[in-house]
Amino acid sequence: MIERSGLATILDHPSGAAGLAVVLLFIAIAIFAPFIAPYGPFEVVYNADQSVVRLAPPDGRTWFGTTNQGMDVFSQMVWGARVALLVGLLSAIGSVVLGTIIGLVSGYFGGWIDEILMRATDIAFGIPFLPFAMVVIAIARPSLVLVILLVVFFLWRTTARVVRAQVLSLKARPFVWAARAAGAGPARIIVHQILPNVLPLAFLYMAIGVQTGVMLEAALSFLGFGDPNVQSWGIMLNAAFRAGAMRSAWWWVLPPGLALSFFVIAVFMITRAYEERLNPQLRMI
Amino acid sequence: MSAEPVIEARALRKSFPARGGALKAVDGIDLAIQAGEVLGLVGESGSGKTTAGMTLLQLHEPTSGEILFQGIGSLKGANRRTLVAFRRQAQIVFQNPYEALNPRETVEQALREPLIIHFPGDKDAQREKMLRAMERAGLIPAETYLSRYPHQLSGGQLQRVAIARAIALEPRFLVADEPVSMLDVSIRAGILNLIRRFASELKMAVLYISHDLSTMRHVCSTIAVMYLGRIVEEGPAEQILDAPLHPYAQALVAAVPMMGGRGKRPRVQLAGAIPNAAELPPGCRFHPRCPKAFARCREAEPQLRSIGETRRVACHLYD
Repeated sequence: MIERSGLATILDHPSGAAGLAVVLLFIAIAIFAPFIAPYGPFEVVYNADQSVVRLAPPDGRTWFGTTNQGMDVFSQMVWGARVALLVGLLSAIGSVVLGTIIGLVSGYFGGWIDEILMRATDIAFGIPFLPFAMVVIAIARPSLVLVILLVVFFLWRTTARVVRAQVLSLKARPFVWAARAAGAGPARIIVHQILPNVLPLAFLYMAIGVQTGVMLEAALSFLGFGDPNVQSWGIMLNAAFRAGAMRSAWWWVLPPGLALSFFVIAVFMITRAYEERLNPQLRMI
Repeated sequence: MSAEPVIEARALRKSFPARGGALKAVDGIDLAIQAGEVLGLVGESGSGKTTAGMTLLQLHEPTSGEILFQGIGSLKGANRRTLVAFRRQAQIVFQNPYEALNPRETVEQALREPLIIHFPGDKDAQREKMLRAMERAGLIPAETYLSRYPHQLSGGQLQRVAIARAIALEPRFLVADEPVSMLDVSIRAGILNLIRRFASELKMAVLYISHDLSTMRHVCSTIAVMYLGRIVEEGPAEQILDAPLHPYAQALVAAVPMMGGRGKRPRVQLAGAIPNAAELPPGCRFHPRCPKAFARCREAEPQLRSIGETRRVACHLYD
């Protein structure tokens, strides 16, 4: 296999390059949100006569119109990119780090350690995310940190299983035996010989984790279990739903819905381009 | 042959758990290798020769039996420190050079690995030993290879890197597990010469594992023929290759294609394939395939016994 950087492979792939462009756009929006958004995430827009601009369709002043509470939909969408990226990245990193460590330990040591960790993974696979997360949030208090932790708890299992399978094949390879013959202990072998060879896979699951994390946060928020102190795309949809505006105020529903879709599809296209490098058989499909 | 061998195995056994019992990959072998000697271990796939090599290196824990190493003593129940001391002295070269190196490590990283473990902190000594090993393995000029990745090297170069890694610690015992079987014929001789020189010049004890008898004459001083986990014949390389005693050894020798005339050899063809080591036949384990089997072969397992001064064979034909 010719080794190439992941970035080059993604850029070579038309949909990968397009996905990367869209994600970079969202990252720019998130970073420069204070300069792009004309209003704050919870700021109410007033008319000249101090009356609130409720459910106004798009016009020159509020580009995407306003909500029933008179907040600027465009600004909320821009601020929502921050939450989406934060949740997506943190839950992806958290779940992949946890899953990779569990997969490495489980696969390398085998025996009862593997048995315990894999049974734990089986149990984790049995937990349905939404009902479980809703119960936890109902008992605790809704917050972004809790949502991220729940998504991590939901996502680590897949990475753990995939990494473990990879480790099982890697640890039987001659270069690992050679390291053993050289006197390397388990920690040294895992870090120097095995980890570098599972990193590409871990990176793939990280990208998938970003996508899933954003979707799960949106789903929870739409159901009313989001952090009320932040403005995310899911929370915007929830507010529109509660206001009964889903059918009437299209300008309120479309921006968060489309932003969510574009972001998730863009990340998917990147993972797909990257996955084709790891698994060349996909190219035939 | 009176000197103390570098490594000696006594009644070495290694079995793996298998469905409905144990797979006896190595089923009681005795062997000893002196400094400067190349012992060729030959047998079909599945005869247990690779497992024997790995077990001698303590990469597999022996099921029973004992391994003695010169200067260290018995490795049975060795503690971590003894094992590290042993690892410094005993190394291995694998069959497949394309899998023997970590695809994400440069040549330098791969070669430094054993040196970092055994000479931690001493960067100058590490570099010196690394470069010396590379030159001994024929990677010249050594510096040009250091920053390369495995995918940038040819099979022969990869095998030389793997050899350099194995000899970087200047071990006294080297296992070469089919080191040329995956290489192009044109570069085999170069690698085999290296192995022969390690024995003759660096006084290593070498276990050369192969299924290919034609390379053995070139490299080995002694040959042990293995069948289903047991050594069936052992002796000086020339004698075994020219006049094998055991029917299995005769079949292996007859299978080597010959060029020109070294005289006619009887043709021996074996029926069937090597049986599963988890279901050993009763009596002599070779009897179902042996062209000369008789009644006793089905009942009693033959033991290795001396024939003349230097040879040993396990076959009822020579009782």
